Amino acid sequence: MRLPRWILAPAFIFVACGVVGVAIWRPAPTARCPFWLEDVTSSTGISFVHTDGSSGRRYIVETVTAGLATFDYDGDGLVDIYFLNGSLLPGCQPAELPRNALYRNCGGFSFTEVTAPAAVGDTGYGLGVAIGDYDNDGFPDIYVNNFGPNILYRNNGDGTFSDVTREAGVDAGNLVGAGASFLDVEGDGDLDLYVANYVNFSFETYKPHIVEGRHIYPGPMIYDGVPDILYRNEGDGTFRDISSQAGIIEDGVGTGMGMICADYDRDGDTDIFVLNDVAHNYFWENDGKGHFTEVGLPRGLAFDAQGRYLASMGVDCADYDNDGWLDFFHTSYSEQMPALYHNTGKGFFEEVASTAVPGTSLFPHINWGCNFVDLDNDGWVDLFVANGNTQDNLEDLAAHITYRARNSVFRNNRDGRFVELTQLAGSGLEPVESSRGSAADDLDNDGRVDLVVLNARSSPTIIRNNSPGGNHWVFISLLGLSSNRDAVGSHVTVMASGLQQLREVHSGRSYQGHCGSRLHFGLEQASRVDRIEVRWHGGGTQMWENLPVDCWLLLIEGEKEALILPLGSSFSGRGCLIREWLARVLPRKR
Amino acid sequence: MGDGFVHSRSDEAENGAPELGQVLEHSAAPVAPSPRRLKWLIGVLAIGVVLAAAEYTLLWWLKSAQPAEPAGDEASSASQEVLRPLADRYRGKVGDIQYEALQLADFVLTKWPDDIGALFVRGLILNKFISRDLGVACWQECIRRAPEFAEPYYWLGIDRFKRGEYAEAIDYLDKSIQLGVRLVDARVALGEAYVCVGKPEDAVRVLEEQLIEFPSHPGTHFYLAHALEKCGRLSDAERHYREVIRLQPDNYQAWHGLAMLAQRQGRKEEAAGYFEICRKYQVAFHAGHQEARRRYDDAESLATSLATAYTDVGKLFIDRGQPDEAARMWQRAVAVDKEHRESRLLLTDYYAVRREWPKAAQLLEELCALDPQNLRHRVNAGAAWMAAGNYLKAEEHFRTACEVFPDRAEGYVGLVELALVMGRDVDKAVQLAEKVVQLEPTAEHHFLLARARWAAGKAEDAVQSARRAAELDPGARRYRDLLARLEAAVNKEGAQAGPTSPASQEALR
Repeated sequence: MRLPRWILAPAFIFVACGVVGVAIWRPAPTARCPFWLEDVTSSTGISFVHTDGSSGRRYIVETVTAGLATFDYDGDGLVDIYFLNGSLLPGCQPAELPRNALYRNCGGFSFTEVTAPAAVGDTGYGLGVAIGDYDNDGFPDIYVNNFGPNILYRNNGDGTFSDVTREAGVDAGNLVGAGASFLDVEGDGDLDLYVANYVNFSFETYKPHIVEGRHIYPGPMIYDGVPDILYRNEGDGTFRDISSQAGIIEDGVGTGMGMICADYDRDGDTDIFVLNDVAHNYFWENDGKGHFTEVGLPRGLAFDAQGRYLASMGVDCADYDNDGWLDFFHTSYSEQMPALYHNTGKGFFEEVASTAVPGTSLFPHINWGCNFVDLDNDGWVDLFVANGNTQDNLEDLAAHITYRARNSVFRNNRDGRFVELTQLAGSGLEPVESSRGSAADDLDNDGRVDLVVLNARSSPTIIRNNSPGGNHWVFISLLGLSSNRDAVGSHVTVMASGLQQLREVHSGRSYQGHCGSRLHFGLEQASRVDRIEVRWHGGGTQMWENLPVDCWLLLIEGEKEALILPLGSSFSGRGCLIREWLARVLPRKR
Repeated sequence: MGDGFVHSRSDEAENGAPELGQVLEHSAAPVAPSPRRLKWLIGVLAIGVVLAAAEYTLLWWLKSAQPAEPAGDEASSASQEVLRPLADRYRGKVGDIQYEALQLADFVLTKWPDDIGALFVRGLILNKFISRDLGVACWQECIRRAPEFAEPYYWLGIDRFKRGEYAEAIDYLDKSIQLGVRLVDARVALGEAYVCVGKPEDAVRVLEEQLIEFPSHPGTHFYLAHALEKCGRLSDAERHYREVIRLQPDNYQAWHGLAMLAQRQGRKEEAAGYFEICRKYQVAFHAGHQEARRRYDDAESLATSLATAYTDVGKLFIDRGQPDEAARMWQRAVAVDKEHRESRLLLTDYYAVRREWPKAAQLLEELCALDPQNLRHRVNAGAAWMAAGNYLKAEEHFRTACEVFPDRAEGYVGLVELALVMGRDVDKAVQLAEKVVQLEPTAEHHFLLARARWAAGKAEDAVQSARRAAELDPGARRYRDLLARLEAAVNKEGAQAGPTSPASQEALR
């Protein structure tokens, strides 16, 4: 039987439209959600796959790998990605030795692996990473905190690195590492190095951990903690362990995890916030001369609001309520709320997470990486949290407690609270992985900060921020001359349309990782930046006024003019403007 | 044109290709439709467009209507799953203890297939040994069948709380309290959930209500203090933190709360002092926590859980009037876990009711060994041995009770009772009974003193004590009866009335 053409033709259109519709289906930003975060991993060319060793013996170190770093290693104006990797552990199936991986950003969310030519493919068991220009040559160096000897990669400035661990003296022995940060403890212009350590684990003392009949990964409580290490930069390419004389081990040993350094009280020196796993956090307060006192308890940073110690994981720092004081957020274990420490400006913090951050997607999971990041450029930092469990055999326990989980995103409600938008924010929040480290940086220089997540035992997630709204923004990079070259520890205050935002340049943040060397400020509808104030670390304060928006400003210590750096993937030559500037200013360094 | 390059229109023009207008004109000519055919074509196209639009709308709707989580499906499949025996499915996949627990859970299901109390207990067992989701499914089935059954609401509330779903947790916990759950944790969790959703005033209300019933519960005072802080009622918060510290001087969280309050109010030196105390107790607590983690033995822990499961099933039997079956469950609990307290206590009661005193005494011996500082176990052990006729053991326990708790009356009471039963050392018994009254001058203790005095031949003093007992508790008949009998004996036999006289025997009977 032949169907009449008046039926066939519409039917054909219907079917064709259906096929085309399904094929090209791309959900669009909803009017309800100011964020639009797209998972673009598959098109980035990134083939990195993380391994934790998965020995089957469930060593504790498998649970805590790893962090990652986003930074512009070659100075081409595009932020690159360095992933840490685990390694083969006793009990593993023999395989190719996993190594860390560096991906060069070629623009347009296209990346090329340059691990081998850059010579940064450490095969140690990677846990934490920090980025800092320890030799003040204008090129960011890499410090990798391993289970086993650590690595310091010196950036040669030509796209390659040299392993200078031995001559620098920073291998830190054979410990289980954690986070790390470069900071200038005494304001001498050289970046020193804080290395957090986790627990006193060894294969020799390993015992299977069985709970309720399940062979599971142990927590840190069954091991002793390990002291952290503070290295002083001697200014000649070497470091010296000053932990004892600086006072950082007098309070005993912790089970270090993520860490961040910040001048919380705006007294001009850098203090150190080290999270401890299932123990009270350490807050090392600097006396300005490089001597530290542990004051976590009186500063309100040791516990949560109810005075409980948490299984603290990753940490970030920002002024989330734009009151001029830096606050902290740190992640924690499943069935614990993370901690949001609001800086009262009176020398102590109040922990307010239970009322400020909804718990629905955080509370059941272990939370790791965390980033204060202004995703919609409205001038108020939002919150991204990476989730996943340590236990890989939970799936039959309860549907909501799983090894893999979705990450979470929260919008700053501008009233001290955050609103969860995970379900509405797009495909970037859809991957279900066991995430660890997370980094926030603008990978395509469009003024909207993107996200990179390291997933345990899996590929990373690259999240493109395609949020609507058209708000303005500005990037600010600092170049220190008398202060350290990266200006780590410097404070930048941006004023635009009546809103004042404060940022600090950090080295080492989130979960044992690094990101955000180039500061980002969302400006909402402001068409000019009224004023930028920089308090250089160890130096004076400088101001710039009436600056353009939607651009990348380079502020050089002592220079009156702000330099506008070009953006975009076209800006990719190695003889870049930054390097030219560095050539001009380097001779003036001290 | 097959060279793989894209050629522009101007290229083609240069190459002598026809202009666009020419192409249209040329191609259109042979298929020019008649007006009727054109109408037909437009109509068909319109139908197609409408259908396509409808299709896109449907696609959009399907996409936006997708559930965020597949929880519903999982919940319903789990719900079906829990209504069928499960042990066979897990045979060989779980350890012996877990398998035994599953068999017990299946036993409960088959024994009482339509009983919601049994289904609730099955949920507790599955929750503990297999999966939280299975427990939740049992409890949801319970409230589906019996919406006024309180306990499942509590457990569902706790489950929601652990998922971070505070609003749902509040609904469940509130309902459980309305229905009469008497667990202090229910109100504490409800208060905490209210704080999490930004309603500290409701938390204060709930926790203050709880204090009426449980005025000395440290957790309630602590969370109330926390909620009061959120409400800005700092002095009230401080009062409750101090109450926690009075009840538990080493509660480092309360010291922390007190310190933060002082700091917030600018009392920095005071805060520093509290922080120091907090640090001291926190370090000790952490060390204990760590020690417990290191000592953890999974087989022991599972055995304890299994013993608890048997204990709960025993209670089901008791509620259904089958004490012997209950005892069988508790005996298994006792055998499974050498340190399980509750099953031992329940079994002790069972034996006591049956006057099987040696068995009861033996269990109490075990409880004393487990908790040497537990006065109740110690005194009960003495009483059980006394009832069993083993006075030496009884005396040993009572004396230990007196040594360990010299300011508590219970041990001395035991010794007095023992002396009265044995009929010896009655003068000493009088002294001990006087101490008892001194420590706790209750009606019962005056009654005891009356009996001791009478036994020691101090008739008038005995009457005086009995009178005091009757005065303190006029409603208690036995005090009045004793007083009447002693008075009668004294009246009958005068000052010579004593324990060996006929009147005395009658009075003390």
